[in-house]
Amino acid sequence: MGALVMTAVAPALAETPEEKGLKIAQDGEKVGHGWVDSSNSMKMILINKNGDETVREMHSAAKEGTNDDDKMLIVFDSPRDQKGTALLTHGHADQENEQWLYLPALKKVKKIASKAKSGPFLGSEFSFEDFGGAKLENYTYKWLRDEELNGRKVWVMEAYPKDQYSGYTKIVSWIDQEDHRQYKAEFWDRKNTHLKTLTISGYEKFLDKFWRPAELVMVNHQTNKSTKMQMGDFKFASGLQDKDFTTNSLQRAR
Amino acid sequence: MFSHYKKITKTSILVLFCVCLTLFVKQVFASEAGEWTSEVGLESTFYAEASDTSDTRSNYSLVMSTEYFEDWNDGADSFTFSPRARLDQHDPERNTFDISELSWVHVEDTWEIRTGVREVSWGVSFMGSVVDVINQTSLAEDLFGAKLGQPMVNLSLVRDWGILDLYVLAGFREASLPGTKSRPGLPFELNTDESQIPLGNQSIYGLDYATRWQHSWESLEWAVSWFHGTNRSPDIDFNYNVIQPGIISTYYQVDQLGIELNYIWNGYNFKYESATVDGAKYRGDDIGIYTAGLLGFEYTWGSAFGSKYDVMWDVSYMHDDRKDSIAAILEKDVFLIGTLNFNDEFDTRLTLGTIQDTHDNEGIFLVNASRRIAESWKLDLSGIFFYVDKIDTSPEVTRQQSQAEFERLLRDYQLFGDSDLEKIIDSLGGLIVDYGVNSPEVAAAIDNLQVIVDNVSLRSDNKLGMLEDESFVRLMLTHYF
Repeated sequence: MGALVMTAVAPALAETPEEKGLKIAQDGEKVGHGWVDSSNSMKMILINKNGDETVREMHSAAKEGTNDDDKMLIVFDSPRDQKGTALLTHGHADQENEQWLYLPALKKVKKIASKAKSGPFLGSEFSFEDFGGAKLENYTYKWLRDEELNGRKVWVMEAYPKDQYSGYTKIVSWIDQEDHRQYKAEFWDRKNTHLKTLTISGYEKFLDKFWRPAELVMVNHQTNKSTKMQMGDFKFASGLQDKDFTTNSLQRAR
Repeated sequence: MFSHYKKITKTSILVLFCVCLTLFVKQVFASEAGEWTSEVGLESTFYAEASDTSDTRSNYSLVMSTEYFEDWNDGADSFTFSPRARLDQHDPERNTFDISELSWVHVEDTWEIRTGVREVSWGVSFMGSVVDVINQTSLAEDLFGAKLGQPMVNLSLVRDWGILDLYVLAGFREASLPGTKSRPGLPFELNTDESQIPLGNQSIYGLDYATRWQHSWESLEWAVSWFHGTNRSPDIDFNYNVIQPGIISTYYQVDQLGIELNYIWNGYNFKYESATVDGAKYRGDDIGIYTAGLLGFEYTWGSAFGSKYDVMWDVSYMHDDRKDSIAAILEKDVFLIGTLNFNDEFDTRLTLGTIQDTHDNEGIFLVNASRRIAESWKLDLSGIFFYVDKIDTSPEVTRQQSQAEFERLLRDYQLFGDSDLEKIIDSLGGLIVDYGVNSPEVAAAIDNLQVIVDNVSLRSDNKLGMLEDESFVRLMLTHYF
């Protein structure tokens, strides 16, 4: 019995917690590849400390790139005064991502310098940096422990942002050991106090490979506000092309 | 009401043609029902003082706009119809109706074609773009200008070497100006019947042309544009008729070369744009080739002081070669605008700004605050304060002066060109002969002359002079549905 345990643990001992953390992140990224293109709708429910709700609806389309150069278009549907506003992002491996905002009232495209990563995304408890676009090399990692969560075996690991403009010192994640699904994350602010907790649920598998959640709930422990993000209408490989992600297509996005 | 269209029959025929064409295209090809998006707003404006032209201290205006959008063929074809109307309490010139958009867009892999009435925005600046030339401007609608829909065919090529837009613009539209009852208002009404496009300045078949190429390299984005056609900003002048005074606008053919640059560096967004124009005139005189330009940067200070707020700074310098033209109110000015974004669920925003003339002690302060107050209601509060060093250089004209004295007085001040002076003296002289110096007709004409003299004497050194008493606070409540 003792020998069995030894052999199971031995390979793990060969790597440091940092190496193991990085390996988990790298594997997670690989598993996520190959979706080609996708689109979905999003509903963001902003809940203040009294429980009052504000709803924002949007839909997005994205195309996978070959080398971190994914392209994404988000169109806002509500509140009504922001209907038609659209955001185009071109990811780049070797330089900062490019972003353009279309303002329908002015019928004008504005290039934006996207430096303010730690700011809230549209008044929600999510910040810009919580939304994808995060590159593997922007963090260092550390595996903490193995655990069981909702009957699934998970890794608990930490990621430390390298970017000085990040709003976090660390992000603790609970990741499924079998398929790299993330169930939970805790965000620690610059003062190293627990700021927010994200819970991800309602996973559904698409194309027999890609897990997508139906709901993300972010709770801010310092303000007692929370944001529910509900996703739906997932579509994959619907033939989106580069031409669907130009500043021309941004102007006619609906 | 409907004044923009009534006055230019050619354009209205063309617009009608566009309506029919797009409706036809829509009827034949469209299948699914489209979507309406509308808004209605009440604009309440309050002025600190009465002005030279108006005692009105408050004004209410109702603004409505709607958009119908429908697409088919998987989004490869779309139809947009977007009319806009305004009802004003005081100024009939501000009772307007315009079609901002009525167009059919067809998209292919490497090109798209947009046909119909459209609005096009060029330029990197959000405060007074100098290259933006496709649409005509309505100053009646808005002090800083609102766009009027322009009929066009626009072919847009999307290639590896960038986006190339080719425009054929049909049906020139006149700029509209506020009337005498507006604030700020003009001393006399714009007399559109007297507006003219001088001989040799008519576009062939009434068509104007434009092209714009935009491309980028890493963090640098640029656009080069060219416009050939009827100048969007007219040469505005008095008719120099003291009996029936009016304002006339004259349109000349111009060529404009536009350059736009946008460079993103380390959170800074550097902007440059310039327009070099050939063929424009000022009060009938050729002003040669002139350049207007804008250089500036934007910087967003995210999570200012560790809060969830961010502050966006916009600093720009604007320059315009034209010294005398009223069109160049912002001649050598510095803009400093700060926007505090609350990043809350109500999209609360507060903007403070100043536009300061670098030569003279005059400028504009502006403040704006906006917030969504309910699901589909938004409140917008703004204030604009003008400060000017008004130098009164105008001579006083009185009934006691003889015709020869008038002539000498006006000539000494060099306010008028010879031909304009002739028109004044002729109309006034005739009136004196017909009715006698002490008649009410002559008194009214003298008053008109004084207004012309006062306004013409507003030279480049105090162009904001006419806005001296026009500081206002405006509350705008908008409902979206």
